[in-house]
Amino acid sequence: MIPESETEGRPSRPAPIGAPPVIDMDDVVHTFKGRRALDHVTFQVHAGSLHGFVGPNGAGKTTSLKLICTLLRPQFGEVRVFGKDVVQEQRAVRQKIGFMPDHFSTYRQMSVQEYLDFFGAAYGLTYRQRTETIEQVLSLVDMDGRRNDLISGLSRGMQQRVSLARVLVNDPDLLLLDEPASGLDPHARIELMEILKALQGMGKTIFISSHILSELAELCDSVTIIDRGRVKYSGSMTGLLDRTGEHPTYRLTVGNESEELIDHLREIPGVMLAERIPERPEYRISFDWTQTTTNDLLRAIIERGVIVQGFVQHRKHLNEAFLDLTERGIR
Amino acid sequence: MFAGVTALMTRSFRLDARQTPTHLFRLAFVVFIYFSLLSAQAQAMMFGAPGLRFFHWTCHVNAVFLALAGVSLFSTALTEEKEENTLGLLRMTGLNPLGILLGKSTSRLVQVLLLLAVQVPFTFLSITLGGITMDQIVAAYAALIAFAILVANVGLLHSVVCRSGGTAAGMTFMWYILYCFCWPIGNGLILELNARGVTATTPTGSWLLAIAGWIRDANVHAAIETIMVTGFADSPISSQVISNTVVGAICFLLSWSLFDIFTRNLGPTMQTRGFALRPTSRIRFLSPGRAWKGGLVWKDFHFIAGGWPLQLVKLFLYLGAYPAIVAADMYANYGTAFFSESLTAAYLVVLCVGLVIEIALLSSRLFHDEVKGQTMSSLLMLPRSVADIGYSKAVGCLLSLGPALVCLFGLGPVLPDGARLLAEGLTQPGVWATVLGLVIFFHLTALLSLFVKWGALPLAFFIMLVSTWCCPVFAFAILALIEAVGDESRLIAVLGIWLAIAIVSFVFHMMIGARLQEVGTQ
Repeated sequence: MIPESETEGRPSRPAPIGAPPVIDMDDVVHTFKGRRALDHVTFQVHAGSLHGFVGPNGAGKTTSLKLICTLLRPQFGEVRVFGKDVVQEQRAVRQKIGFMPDHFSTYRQMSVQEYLDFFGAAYGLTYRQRTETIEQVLSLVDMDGRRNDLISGLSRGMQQRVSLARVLVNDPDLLLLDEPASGLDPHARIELMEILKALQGMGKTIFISSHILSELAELCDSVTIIDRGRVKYSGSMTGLLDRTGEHPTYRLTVGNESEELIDHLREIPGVMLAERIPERPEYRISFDWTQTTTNDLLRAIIERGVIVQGFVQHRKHLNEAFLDLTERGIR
Repeated sequence: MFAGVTALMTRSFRLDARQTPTHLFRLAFVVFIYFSLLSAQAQAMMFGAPGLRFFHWTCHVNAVFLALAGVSLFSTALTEEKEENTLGLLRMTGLNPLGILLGKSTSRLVQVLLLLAVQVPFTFLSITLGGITMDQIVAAYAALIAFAILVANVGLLHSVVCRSGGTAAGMTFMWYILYCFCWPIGNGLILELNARGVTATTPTGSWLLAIAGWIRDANVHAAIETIMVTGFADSPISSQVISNTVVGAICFLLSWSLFDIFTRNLGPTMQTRGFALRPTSRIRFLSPGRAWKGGLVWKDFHFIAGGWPLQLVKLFLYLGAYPAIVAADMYANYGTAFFSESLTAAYLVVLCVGLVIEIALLSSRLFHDEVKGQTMSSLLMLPRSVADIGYSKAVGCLLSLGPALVCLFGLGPVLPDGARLLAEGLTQPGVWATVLGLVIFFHLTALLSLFVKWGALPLAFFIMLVSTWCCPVFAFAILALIEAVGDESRLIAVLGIWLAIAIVSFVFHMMIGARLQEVGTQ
């Protein structure tokens, strides 16, 4: 079970470390045609993080992204990017962010070089700056050899890389990526993830909305889960995966299995749940941390003659955490 | 097969019935008929036969509407499936080409015919108003139905052959322009045949004259003119009805037979660059090269307006137009009017018409390409205002008017009486009133291109045509203003029209700006 403070759209907010958060959505409400797309949404993203934004279809992910990237104006609440209000200081915000929508949004009749050169000029870069930037971003997305190719002749994965290169042209500090891996083959996905890791290494903050939970779990260090316009969790990825509800859960591997062992485990004071994992010498144990501690629990198990081969905290997969937090899972 | 066709048609009708714009469009058509009736009644005090006048115009507007449907509705019947990559899925359902053609096209034809049917009860009122008979009404609707069949199948053929809806719509529009010239072409052929001594007495002559006659009578507008002549009592099955239906059927059979060839190996669409040369081209100095400062002006100049290569082509064409006019005049009048005022006037008119066509085409593409390519959100993310983005794009397109403007204001004054003709034109309130109408037309085209998938230009043309005829108050007001001021106050009238142009432009710019923002956030 998730604490009430997190299920009711009031997630725990990590303490700010000096600088203002890169993204700060505070109590944002947004309604489309009478339907509330965002319902008092509050979360923060800190500098240098690779933040996953997860939610079922229609949860409010794209609306949130459009609010952050200044395409929409919040009807209620505040959205700040690098401490600047997205409504009051729209241009300043736009200078510091790069948004890649869920469609490629490319001029397919242009060559790769022309496309990047155009956006460089549109962002106000000088001729020399553009030349240097295009070299760098093409090298980063590994498209150096395709600069004179028409975008319409490129594969989907390559078009996605060109789109990412375009986002990087103005050297933004924050990248907002809406479903960047959708429709890509596994090879192109792996390449994209590697590029994102490299960008994070360069100090950029990346906010990535995706349905591909396994990749987010590997890639992201923090995550926000949203469902029906409400934030269900926002915080570190490890915090989410370690979380198993109100009671800590451990996985016990034993060397001497017996029929009575499960009863022995259930007798230990403070144990809320003890169950055998089918076809394995393993047990899942949850305990009430107000009644006992991990040390006491382990001691009690050993005292009952159990040969302990392993005792590790049970971590959920992001899929499980996601399904636990959202009411319907991915639709 | 019939189960599949029925399923496709049922789906199409259901979709049509659910869509509010369809019903609004039908309502607008009835409102148009109603106002036409009112207008005819009002005109009955000034002119005779108001029923005839009312029905006459209704028929022409219907014909234009059908042509518009051909450009926008029928020519996208199959291209929309090609663009969405759903044609293969349709084939997998077991539908054969005939089933797909019938399902996709016939339902649209029925919808258009329903639109004609909805106005029939109202048009019967024209008999009461006077000047028209039942025979004429029946003959006119027969002509229109035959034209609808022709348009539907020509559009269908283009949608089978072409890869994209835009190309198919363009091809259908070109076909319609050619169709409009049926009467002069056929008439010219008959005159030429007669001049060469070909008569109907010989079998070959008889055939040639008959073919020329069929071409002349194939145009629906010419047929309507014939039907509206007082005392018309011919059969409703005229040569236009037969030729249009037969050609429509041939187009359908062609669509059927070409279906497999043109839909067999549909790969992903390869975008063409139009006139913009590849960066690797041998004549690189004409290619777009590196982006100019700001970027947007450069992009639209090269990738919407055609860039340097098209400017060169246009410059040669505009410069060549004057010698061509002089040569044509020398051929027709043995050079009597060589370098006269009338030739200069003709040249200036050609330049103005060229300018109007260029601006109209650019207006329809200026924003539509961004909507089609879903690139508006990327542009809106630039640290620039919507107005800045919109005006920069417009400047990029307007730069391409250079060749026409250079010829008009550079070469024009140098030609005999050119300076005087230009000065007179630019101080005429009537000229500026026309400019006002054109400004509305161009803006309307640009605005509509942000709403409709295809056919913003013909739709704007249709709206202008209908509104000018239905609501002549605006035109009357301008004419009254021009009449009211004498020659000495022409400047005041011109200034008044300039103010109107500024106001109209401002209103349209606001609407376009709001819509651009909306499109970008979708």
